[in-house]
Amino acid sequence: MSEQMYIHMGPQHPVNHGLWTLKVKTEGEQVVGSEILIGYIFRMIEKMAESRPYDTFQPLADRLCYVSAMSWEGTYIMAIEKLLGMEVSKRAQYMRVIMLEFQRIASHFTWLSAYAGDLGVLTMLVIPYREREYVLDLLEHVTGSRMMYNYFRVGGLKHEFPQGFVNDARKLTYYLDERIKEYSAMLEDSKVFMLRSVEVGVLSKENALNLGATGPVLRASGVQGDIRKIEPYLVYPELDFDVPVRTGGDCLARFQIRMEEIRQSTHIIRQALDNLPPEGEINQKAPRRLPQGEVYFRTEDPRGEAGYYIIGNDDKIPYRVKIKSPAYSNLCLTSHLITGGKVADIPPIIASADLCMGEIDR
Amino acid sequence: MTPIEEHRKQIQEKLSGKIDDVQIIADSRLEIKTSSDNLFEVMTFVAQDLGFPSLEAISGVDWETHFDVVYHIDRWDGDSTVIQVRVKLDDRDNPQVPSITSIWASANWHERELYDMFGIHVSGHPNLKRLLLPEDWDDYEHKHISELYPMRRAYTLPEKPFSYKPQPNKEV
Repeated sequence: MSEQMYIHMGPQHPVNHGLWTLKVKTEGEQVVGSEILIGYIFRMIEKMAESRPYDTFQPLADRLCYVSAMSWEGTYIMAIEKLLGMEVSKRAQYMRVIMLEFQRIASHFTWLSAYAGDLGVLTMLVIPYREREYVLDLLEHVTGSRMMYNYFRVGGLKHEFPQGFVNDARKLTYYLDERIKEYSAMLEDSKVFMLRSVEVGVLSKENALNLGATGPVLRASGVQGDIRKIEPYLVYPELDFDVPVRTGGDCLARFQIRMEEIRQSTHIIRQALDNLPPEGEINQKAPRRLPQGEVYFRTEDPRGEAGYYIIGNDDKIPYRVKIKSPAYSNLCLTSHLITGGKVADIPPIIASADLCMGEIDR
Repeated sequence: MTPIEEHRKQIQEKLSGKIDDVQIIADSRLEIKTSSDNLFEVMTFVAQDLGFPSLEAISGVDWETHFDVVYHIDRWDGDSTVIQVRVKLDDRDNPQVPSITSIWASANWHERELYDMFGIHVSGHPNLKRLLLPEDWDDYEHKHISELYPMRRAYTLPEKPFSYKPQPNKEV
């Protein structure tokens, strides 16, 4: 039996992708214990939401996650609309779906780049960023910003799509489909990639549920868990798409799920572009005050289930806003996954959970 | 009978006496009101007999006269029901709930956050210490007791940005 040793990974360490600390207790190459320390970028964003009129919090909701800002502002706006009992027009709903799915694609590209980079496949560190840039160009064309969009509004959206958007978007989806084939071929033929992904960080179905996993991590463990299907919002019931599920529960399954989700997203976007109603009010008037009552609203974020628990108190300032972040639970369970494995397995396990410290620390 | 009504019926039959109220508050949202004494038993029933395998979130709410702790529990498996368990804590000076980490492992961080932000003590938690704020936050120099637990209503955001420096604990 060899001597026990503690390794501090973080707060500044290449595998962390954000500021947090992983304390690993090792015995030779074996990990025998671990502890996660978070809170380095804690901004008390829930308190900020409880201190200002509800419609002025939405640009801050963007800042919850710098990789998928659109989905967080979208979830907040839709939760508020649910509390107000508002119904937005079909056109606005289709436009929202298009924006949210493009955001999902951009977020998965960022993840792919980080994951492949961590595994030592350095070509794939830069290639997904090239494709992501095309998606961000498109989003910038619509919203005027590359990352912090501030595009959703209570009652609809800030403004219409610019001229030529529909054509550009459709062209881009076909281009991305071609690229995805290339990625899968490149990575699944790579020995390094497969050695470090297959049967690494296996999460069983029971553990995934008990540890609160959501999103691609949960679906990689064999649970059909997609809020877009279970509790549909917007116009998702009218669109045809599959929810990929794998039973492996390892890093490879999580990679395959995300690749398949990009394909499904391009498929959804094309349908939404085809069915986009030509007419419809996209920015309705919203009431000034939130009514008495509460709502727990959830959507399918690129990382899993994003939720807002909002309590209104007949005031323009919400009484309580609780943010349920998917990455928070996914980070909590990585500590369980790395224990018992090898030190070299830590980077793929952490990267495959797709962490974003902005929404974990809040 | 829809799944949510079945869950409601089962809860009414099996948990009578343990709960104060159970009702459907919105589409696929079922609310159970209970006390902190009966919480563990109610949660065990929800997890094992009703088959709700996943805890989503634990939220504290400060009503200034009392605290509410709200649990959201999910079923997945094609059923969109979310059970919302609400516990009312009248004792403001010493609020306390039992830990449910032994039922759902994901409760670990949520409970630590609850303690960190609201000062609600979670009895039986394996590792109850601050999560988002620094571990030695209590030793810092505070102007008011409410600064210890920033999500309480008494804590207001400062006018200008501030920076904290750890203060050495004088007694040590």
